[in-house]
Amino acid sequence: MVGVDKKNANMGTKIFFAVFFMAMFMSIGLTYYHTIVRQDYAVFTDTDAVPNPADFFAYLVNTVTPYFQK
Amino acid sequence: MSALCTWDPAYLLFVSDNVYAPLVYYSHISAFIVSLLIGLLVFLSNPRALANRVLFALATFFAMWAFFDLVIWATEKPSYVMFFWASIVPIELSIYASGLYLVSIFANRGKDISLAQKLIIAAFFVPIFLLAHTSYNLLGFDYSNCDRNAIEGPLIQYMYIVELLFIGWAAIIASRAYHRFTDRIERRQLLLVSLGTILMLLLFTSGNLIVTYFLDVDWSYDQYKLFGMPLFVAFVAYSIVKLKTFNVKLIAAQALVAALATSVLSLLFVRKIEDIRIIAGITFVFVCILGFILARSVKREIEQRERIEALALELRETNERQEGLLHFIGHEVKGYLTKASGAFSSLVEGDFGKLPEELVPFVERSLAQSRDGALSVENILTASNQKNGRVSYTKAAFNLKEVAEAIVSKAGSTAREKGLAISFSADEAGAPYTFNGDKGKIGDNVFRNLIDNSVNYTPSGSINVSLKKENNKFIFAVKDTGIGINDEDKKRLFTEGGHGKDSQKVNVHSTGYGLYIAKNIVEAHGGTIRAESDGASKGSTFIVEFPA
Repeated sequence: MVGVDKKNANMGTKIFFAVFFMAMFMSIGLTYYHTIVRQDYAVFTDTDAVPNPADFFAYLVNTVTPYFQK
Repeated sequence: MSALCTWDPAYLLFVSDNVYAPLVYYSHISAFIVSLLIGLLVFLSNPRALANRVLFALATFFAMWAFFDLVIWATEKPSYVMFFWASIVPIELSIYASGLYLVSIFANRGKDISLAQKLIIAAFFVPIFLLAHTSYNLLGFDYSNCDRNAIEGPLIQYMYIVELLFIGWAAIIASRAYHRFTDRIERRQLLLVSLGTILMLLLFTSGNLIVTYFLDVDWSYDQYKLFGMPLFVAFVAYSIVKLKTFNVKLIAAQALVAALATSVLSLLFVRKIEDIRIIAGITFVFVCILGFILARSVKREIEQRERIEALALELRETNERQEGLLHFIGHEVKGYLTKASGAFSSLVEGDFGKLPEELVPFVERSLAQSRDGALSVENILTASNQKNGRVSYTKAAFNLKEVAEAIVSKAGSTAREKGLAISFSADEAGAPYTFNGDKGKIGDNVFRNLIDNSVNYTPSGSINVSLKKENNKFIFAVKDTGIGINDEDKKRLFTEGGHGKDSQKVNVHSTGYGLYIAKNIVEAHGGTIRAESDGASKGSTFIVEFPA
């Protein structure tokens, strides 16, 4: 039955989770350094210059679709 | 444009007037508290169960996501918007990975997935961990209006694709396992968990995709996607605990009350009166639904309690009738056995003339067995009387040493017949051993019982009976070199009808009531009784202590 005690956390799994969470914390730490400490990011003040995330999708569709139409 | 923006400074990172969408506090605070609460309750119910741990991780990631998102809504600082928006990406994908992991565990019948599978899932995180701080994640801060939005980069599109991939992966795993499982309960459990998880994740992703691609990046619609989360977590948690001996009703009631409380709590953060109307309307519907569920639950509880009380009454009456029957049968049997003992005793003592030699051993054995039978019945009746508080004690001052000495002397012949050495010693420093109690019961049911037990359960060796006075206590001890007592048997030694595991192999006449009766009598006199033994075949010591 699911939910019963399983002692499957072997050493490999423990190391895996340790590395995984360390990588996550390091990534967030690096983001903190770049955004809050150094404020190293672009600022868009012109409405026309602001990229629309949906454009990436449109770009992707436009790039990929012709390959399937050939 | 940027100079025209006047933003309210956020208090505690998340309380400010900057939150312009009306349901943000409502949805986020409810999601934060309820998901964390359910995750904690399930985790604490069995912290070692893998499924519980993973659900806890999922709920924690979700609570973090709700908090980070709330800060993004509330903060007035662009750098904070950038940090929390960028950092929410690995957390959001962790929600999906936890969901996939949870479904995989259920599909694996509770077993963990392989390290290789974990590595494959983790591999999708590599670009995110490496690029979260770069412009691939967020292109920059949108200062062209006062909405305080970050502009999402291609890494977030990648995250949406991975999210959909994880959802599809979980659906395939769940579907294959569902067709593989034959047990109905197992299938139902898998269905509940996987459906709950997949629907919740799908709702979450569709919220992001719809806003990004169909609603012109208007994040005010994003607030609605969180409403499904508390219900789905409750749904998953319910199915996890359903097939275990865990108090589902309690967890459900706790979750409902918490959801209600957080709904009211989130009202405190809403500052605009027009928003209050919307939230109050939703809260009203919520209260009606929860109120109905709780009222129905309470009604069922009351009905069940009334039924249990009626059954308990019925059971008590049945027990009383059985007790009466037991007493009747016991007294009848005891009467016949006593009469038989009397007859055999008369024959042995020669009241009807000298018996033929070949009959003497037969009659003596019959006399002994009749007496044993009467004693067994007497023990059962006494135990029953003690249980019902129908035993009275006639207390008077008597000498414990004299009683113990007389019993050892009586048991001596039986012990010697078995080839056992039996001795009695009393510490003279403790004399006189005057004790105020029921001489008959202490002598017959305590001292004699313990000594007889030692004789019965000691195949060879010796029995030492001792009496001393120490620390204002009379200490009576029977030490033997018999079969000993293991730890398991020690637990049930003094219970009603409690036998040692192999005791009846040694003494077939054991009723299991002797020590129970002895314990009740000793305790009725303010004393204690205990057994000590180093284990099987290592002898045992029974110690009775009475207040001096």
